[in-house]
Amino acid sequence: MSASDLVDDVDDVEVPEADRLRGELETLREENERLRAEYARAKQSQYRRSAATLAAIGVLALLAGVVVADARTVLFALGGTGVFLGVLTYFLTPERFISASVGEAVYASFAENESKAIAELGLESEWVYVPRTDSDRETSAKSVTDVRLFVPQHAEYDVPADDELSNRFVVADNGRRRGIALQPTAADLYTAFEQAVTGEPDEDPAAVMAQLGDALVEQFELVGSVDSEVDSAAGHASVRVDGSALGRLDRVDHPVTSLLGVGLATVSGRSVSVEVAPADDAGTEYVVSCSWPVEDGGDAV
Amino acid sequence: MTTARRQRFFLGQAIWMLGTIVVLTLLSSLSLDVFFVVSLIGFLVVVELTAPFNVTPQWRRRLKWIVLVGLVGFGYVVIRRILSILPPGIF
Repeated sequence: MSASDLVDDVDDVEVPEADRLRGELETLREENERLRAEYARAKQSQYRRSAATLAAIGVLALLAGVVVADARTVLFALGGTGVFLGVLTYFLTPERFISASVGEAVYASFAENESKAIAELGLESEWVYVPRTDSDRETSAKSVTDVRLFVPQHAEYDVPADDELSNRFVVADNGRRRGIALQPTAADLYTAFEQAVTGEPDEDPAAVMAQLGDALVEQFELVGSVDSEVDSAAGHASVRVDGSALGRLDRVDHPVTSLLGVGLATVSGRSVSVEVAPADDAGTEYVVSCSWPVEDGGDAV
Repeated sequence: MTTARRQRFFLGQAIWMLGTIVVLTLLSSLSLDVFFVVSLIGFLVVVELTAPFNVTPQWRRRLKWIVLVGLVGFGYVVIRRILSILPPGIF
């Protein structure tokens, strides 16, 4: 199975080019990990120093309070404030820290590679987040194990079967199910979201969109604000996103759109098609449209 | 310091504590007990006001330990006050 199978009608695409792109992607991933580790170490030591400085000022004020009897209460209060703020700084120091500009730079290269690969493979500019399910033999209940980003070859596509999505290059007999299936950018972010959400991720699309919006703003701090409108009966959600920390949203598998797509696909168990359009000329505000198939009765399929 | 959300939280608490010292000093009511209790109230208010509705980031989970220590200190202050009010000889 190779990329050339996908584009038998496009002669100028060769396997070595796809290999080269994969190699570049791997190098970028390693570089990303290294940068994250280095930046986290630097930032962590900086915050630890700030915490130690505040605590030291507090201890000095406490010692001064022992010596200067007239201002003892004020100095003790100031000393307590310094020590407490030092402890608070230490508590709030992040385990891992990466600046928005570093994250944006890494994502920009990644998105560039992916979009070029998609263009060179002759695929559509369509992003579909497809859940893969695992059936419980005893209860015959299905649970979503993971989500794949499917980029189809045809505009009138069919969603591939679970086993076909195991491969990066989906080369099904049915041409409408051909394309590529990628691990979404936000796959691990969604795991972190599941751990941080109050209770469990809601199964109602409107509620889960509110939870995902809160996570984007408060937990991951990837955007300034999120405002979502969900029409569950029509299988459509419209999300207005402002102040992205990682640049333009209308690029391939942007972490913000990816988290929305992965989240909706996971809780609904249906494939979710995601489109992004700028809402202003300045490029700071975007509208993310998510659509999923629904039954005639209005429930999602 | 750290991320914008954490920075907002830290600044809120720092302003509250320093403001408490200034106001209590101006009112000539500064004592360590009152300062501690007002600071704890401020901490709980800042924690609640900055809390997201649907998610609890990992750094916010750690705040519960500070709240716990604060409540133990508050219990100590209350017991000490009660003991000072009670007539001598009861305990």
